Amino acid sequence: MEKSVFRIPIGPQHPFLKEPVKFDFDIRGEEIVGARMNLGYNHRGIEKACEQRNYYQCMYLLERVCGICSHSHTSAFVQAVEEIMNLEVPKRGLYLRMVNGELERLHSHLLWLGVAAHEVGFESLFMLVWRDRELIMDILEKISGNRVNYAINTIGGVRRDLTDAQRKEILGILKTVRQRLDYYAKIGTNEPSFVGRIKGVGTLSAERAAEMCAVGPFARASNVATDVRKDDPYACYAEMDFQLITHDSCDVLGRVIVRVLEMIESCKIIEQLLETLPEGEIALAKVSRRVPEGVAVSRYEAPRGEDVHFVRGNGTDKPERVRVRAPTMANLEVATESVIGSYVADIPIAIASIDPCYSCTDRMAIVLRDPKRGTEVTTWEQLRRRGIEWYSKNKGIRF
Amino acid sequence: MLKAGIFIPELLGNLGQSPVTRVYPFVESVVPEGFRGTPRLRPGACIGCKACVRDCTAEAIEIEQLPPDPNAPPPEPGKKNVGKKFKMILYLDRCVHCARCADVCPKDAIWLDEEFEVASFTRDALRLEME
Repeated sequence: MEKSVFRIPIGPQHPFLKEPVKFDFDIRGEEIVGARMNLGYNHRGIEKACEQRNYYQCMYLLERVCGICSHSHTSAFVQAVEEIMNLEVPKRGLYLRMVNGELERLHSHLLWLGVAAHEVGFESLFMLVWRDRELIMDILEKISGNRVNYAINTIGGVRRDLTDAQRKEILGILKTVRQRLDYYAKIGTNEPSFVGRIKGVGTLSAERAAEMCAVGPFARASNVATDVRKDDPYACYAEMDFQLITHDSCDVLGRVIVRVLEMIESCKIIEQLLETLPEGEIALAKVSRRVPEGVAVSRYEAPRGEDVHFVRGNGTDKPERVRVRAPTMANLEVATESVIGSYVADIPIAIASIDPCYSCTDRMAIVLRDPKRGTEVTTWEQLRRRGIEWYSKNKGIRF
Repeated sequence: MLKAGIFIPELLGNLGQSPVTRVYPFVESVVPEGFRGTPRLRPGACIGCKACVRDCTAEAIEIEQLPPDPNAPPPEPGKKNVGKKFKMILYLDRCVHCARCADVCPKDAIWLDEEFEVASFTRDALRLEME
């Protein structure tokens, strides 16, 4: 390290961090010239705990991977289990799952917008956004029975139906929310103090975002059109009419705009879902407790980006392996890198712009390379080739 | 187009409004219908199948058989568990309020109340016994 460069450690405990993580920034004067991050302070052993519980217990346990995208994790897990069991979920069940998912996206993005405003010192916006977020939280509490952990999913459908009165109430509240979102879109792009603070901060080029496999609104703000709802539609997203929002400013301003516009798209999706809600059952009447042997990888567009769950069943009522890849895992490395070139004061907002969730991300892996037991290590390149082969064979996607 | 003070009308508009924050606990807070509170046992409805124990995510439920009532008539032959009574021990400090116990109960013996102020000073106070 050259003499003029000074290293500042941030974390594991720091006022700007909501959860423990360690960053090391190399600074020359006020400018950041190097950045590294280190995870591993929040390992909870959820994956291992899943191996000792049955699928229903796992569902509620995995809901607690994240407090904000709790529905995303259960949906991804349930989708994987349903794929192994070859279940056809009733359409009304899928629609209700999507309604919950989009409401969750709304509240997550509103929460992030408030946090972002708070990080840049725009406290009035923070207060107003969080006030409006309560409207969404109240809807979620009414339809699911809890504000945070909705527990609405079950294997083969959902647990609670929506009454006609609730449906009308949600549509009414969404009208108010849409008006507010239009207003925030105006503020986000027109308020000089806000725009001036976040424009050009934490820049990430489209090439680098694609190269480092960034996901979610973070990648879309760097003009990478990636969204599981469009690329590999699950549930009934193929039937919905909505736009994939991207922005080419590649900075925190782009991430604000993408998230606000995405919320308006989410409102549109919920309106479509509620207006064309099919009649019928919400869940399959009888589902076997035992899951046959098989593996499934499920992709779900969580509010923060692509959430991947891997489940391996072994014919019993307990999974043999559950693997969770939370969206922050894909974004954190490149977000740390995006701080390079900015100033020290930009660190909080640049890191917060991916909406990081460290507890969701922390996993521990022990690699056993033992030729006697037949274990081997698969390289990234081999894995990539296998993935390309599988997708071109089974999903007809060309690379 | 950047406009200075675009936020000011909203701020001035909010000045005349009453605060959104509720002064809980001085004002009663109401939860919506269907809120998932504390699991409760309907008296005498439990048949001791322990489906709730098996599926409880947090391993917060225990079902124990109560000593037989000396005045009860003898059970009919071939009918299992008839006349037997069970109690549920709920460790509320572990419960995650997912309502799986209520879902899985074949006799609908478990239901969730709408109580949300369940904090306590001691852990022992959160060990609930229901018959």
